[in-house]
Amino acid sequence: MNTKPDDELLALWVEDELSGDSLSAVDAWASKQTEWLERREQARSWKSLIDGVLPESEDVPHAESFNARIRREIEADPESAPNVVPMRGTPRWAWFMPAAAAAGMVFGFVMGRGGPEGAVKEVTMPVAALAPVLYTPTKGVNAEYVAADDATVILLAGVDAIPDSWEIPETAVLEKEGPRTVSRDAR
Amino acid sequence: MKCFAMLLLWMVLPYSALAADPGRDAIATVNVRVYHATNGDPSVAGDKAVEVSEETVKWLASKESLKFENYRLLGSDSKPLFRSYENWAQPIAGSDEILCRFEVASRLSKESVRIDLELWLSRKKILKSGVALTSGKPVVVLGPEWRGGRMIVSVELAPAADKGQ
Repeated sequence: MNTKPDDELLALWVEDELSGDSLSAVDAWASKQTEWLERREQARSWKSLIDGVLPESEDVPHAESFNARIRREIEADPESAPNVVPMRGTPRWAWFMPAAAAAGMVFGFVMGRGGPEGAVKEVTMPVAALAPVLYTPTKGVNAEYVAADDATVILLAGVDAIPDSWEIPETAVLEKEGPRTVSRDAR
Repeated sequence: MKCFAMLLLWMVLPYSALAADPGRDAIATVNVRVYHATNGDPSVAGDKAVEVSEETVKWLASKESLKFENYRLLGSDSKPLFRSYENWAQPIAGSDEILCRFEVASRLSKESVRIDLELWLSRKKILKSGVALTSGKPVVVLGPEWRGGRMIVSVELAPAADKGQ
């Protein structure tokens, strides 16, 4: 072989990675190439040096996973094995679940409505809480509460008068005064 | 049976979704009346004002602070009191000079509620109050002056009319 082998072959040859025909071909060419012979010698000396320094590689012992170990322990102890009941398919009463959910929704809705008028829960309020709470947001206006047996009277003071020019509009249709509600005490 | 369950679901779900809002149930009616009280000539209220019954005159005049010689009814309005929504009364129809806003705060008994009551005069909130309103025991507000007299606003609780007004 008179032609120079390609770089890839030469790199493999330097590292003693060639064999067979490739090796003999490159050997034939390199036998006259002192530079490449020196390179291979240097590579061989480096390899022997590194092999002497580094410890021989060992296979890593099998790292058993945590779950695998637990599973193995469970399998080894028959008493701790879970009591698995085989599935027999969908139960016959499975249709009842959506029906029960629907019935629950209806029940909750009816209860949420508060029931009929007579079933309204009445709140027992202390007497003090029955006194009116008054607030007049307009500056200069005051409100005063006057207790009465048959009315809650609130007196406003400082309110701007309604202009005398204001008239009851034509759209206001007034009929004769209707009856007032009579309190139970007066019945 | 499965078909029956599915049919039940189809019947129930739309009903739950589309049922009427219970908050709009009318638990009572609120009657709002506006009177003009004066010690002078009652005719200044105009020819649209209506004479007041003897019973009302006695009832108003029995309160010292509301005692006047003459009373005239200027207007009235009846509006449902909703279970959980506010409502407005416009006692002078066609005019927003006097308006009442009311909303239930709590139900005290079958004939008594505590309401948030507001009185608006000339489109301004003049009074905000929390009062107990009982059937037969109205809230009466001695309001602004007008033509030499005073306006009196009466807010009264009455049984509910037809629901859903």
